[in-house]
Amino acid sequence: MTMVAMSHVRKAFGSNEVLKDISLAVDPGEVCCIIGPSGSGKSTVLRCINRLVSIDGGEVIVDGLSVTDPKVKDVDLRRRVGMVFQQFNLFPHMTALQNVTLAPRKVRGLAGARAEETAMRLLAKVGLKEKAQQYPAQLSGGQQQRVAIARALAMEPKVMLFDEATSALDPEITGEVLGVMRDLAAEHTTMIVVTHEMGFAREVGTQLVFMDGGVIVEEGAPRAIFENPQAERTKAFLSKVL
Amino acid sequence: MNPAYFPALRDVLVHGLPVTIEVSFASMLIAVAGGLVLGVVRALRNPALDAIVIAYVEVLRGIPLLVLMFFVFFGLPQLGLHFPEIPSAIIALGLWGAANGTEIVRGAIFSIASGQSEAGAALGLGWLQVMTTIVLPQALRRMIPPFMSLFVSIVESSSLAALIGVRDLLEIVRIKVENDATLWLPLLISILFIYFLINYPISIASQRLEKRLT
Repeated sequence: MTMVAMSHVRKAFGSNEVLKDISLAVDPGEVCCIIGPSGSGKSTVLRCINRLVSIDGGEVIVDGLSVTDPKVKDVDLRRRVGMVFQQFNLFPHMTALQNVTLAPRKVRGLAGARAEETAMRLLAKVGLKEKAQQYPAQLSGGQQQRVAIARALAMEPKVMLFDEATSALDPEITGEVLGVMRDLAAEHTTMIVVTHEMGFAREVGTQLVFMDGGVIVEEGAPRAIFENPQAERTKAFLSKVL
Repeated sequence: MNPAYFPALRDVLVHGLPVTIEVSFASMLIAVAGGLVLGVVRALRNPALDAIVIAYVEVLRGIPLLVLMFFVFFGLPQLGLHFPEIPSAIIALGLWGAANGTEIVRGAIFSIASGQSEAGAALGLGWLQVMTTIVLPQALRRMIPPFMSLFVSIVESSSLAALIGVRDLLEIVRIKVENDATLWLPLLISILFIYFLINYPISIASQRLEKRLT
C-alpha cells in the first residue's frame, strides 16, 4: 500500500497559487527527495501531508487516512507523520530529553519513565546520549537538529518529513545530520525530504521529484534524472546547482 | 518639629498603609488573571472574540482612571449596582489593570516564534497543550518586566481612590491636615517615601527575575 498518496492537490495563499495539481505517491521504505528553486512549493507539499496547511483541492491519503476527511483528527494524522524543520524549532525551555519525551507523554500518554527510556535510546541513536540534560542553547546547530530528529522519531511515525533540515547549518556540520538521515534510510524509514543537498538526493534517494512554480516538472529515479534530465527547466536548475 | 506629626504618621501607617496595600494587591491579582485569560483568548484568533477583547482593552485604556473610578462608585448605584468604597476602587483599578495586562500577555504570546507552535502541532499536541506546555512557559518570562512596571503604576494610581473616600495613605493624610495644615508637608513627604518603599522592591524584584530567567 502507498504510504503517502497525493492526487491533484491545489493550494493558494490568497491569490498566490502555491501548488497547482500536485500528484505524488510514496511507498513504504522509500526516500523521496524533492528538489527545486525557492518558492517552488516544496515546503507546502510537506505541510499538506500533516495538515499544517489545509489543501484547497485534490486529495492526500496518509497511511489510509484522508487529510480532507473531517472525521480524521489532526492527532491521528500527526502521530503517523514526523516532521523536521529547517530552523529545528526545539523548545528552548526544555532539555534535549524533555524535548523528546514531551509528545510521547502528552499525546501517546506514556508514563515518564517509559518515555525517557525510549528518548534515551533515540538520543543514543543520533549520537547525543551524553547531551540529554543540555538545553538547546547549549547545543550546536547540528546537535539541535539531531535532537529534533529524535523528537520526531519518538512518536514512532510511519513517515518522516524533512523540510530543508540542513539549510540552516554551516556546511561543515551538515554531514552529521545527513549521516543520521542516511541511517534512517538504511533502516527503510519512509522519508520525504525537501533538500538542496544534491549528493544526498542522488545517493540516498529512491525517488526524485523536481518542482518549479507549484508543479512537478519531472520525477523518477534520482540517477536517471541527474544524469539525463528530460525537461528544459530541470536541465537549467541542475546545471546551476551541480 | 510639630508634635502632632508622630501621632498623625502613626495613623497614616496603621490605617492608611494596609488599605493602599489591599487595594493595590487585589487590583494586581485581577490585572494578572484578567490579562492572562483575555491575552490567551486573543491568541485564539477568533474574529468575534478578538473584537470583544479589543473593544474592552481600547475603551478601558482610553478613559481616565479617575473617571472610571467615579463611574463605578457614583454611576453604577443609579443602575442598582452598589459597591462600597474599597471594592469600587479595586474594580476600577483591576479592570484598568486587566486591560493593560491583556496587551502584555498578548504581546508576549505573539513574540514567541510561530515555528514553536508549528513544531508542537506537528508532534500531535492540541492547541491548549501547545499553549500551556510550549508557548506560555516561554511567554511568561517576557511578561515579567512589563507586569512589574504595571504593578508600579497600580500602586501609584491606587492613590486616586482617596477621591471616592477610600481611606488609603493619601486620604488619611488629607483627614489629618484638616485640623492642622502645617502637617501637609511632613506627611506628604512621609507618604512619598512609603510609596517609594513599596515600589522600589518591585523594580528590584523585576530586575532579579529578568536576570534569573534569561
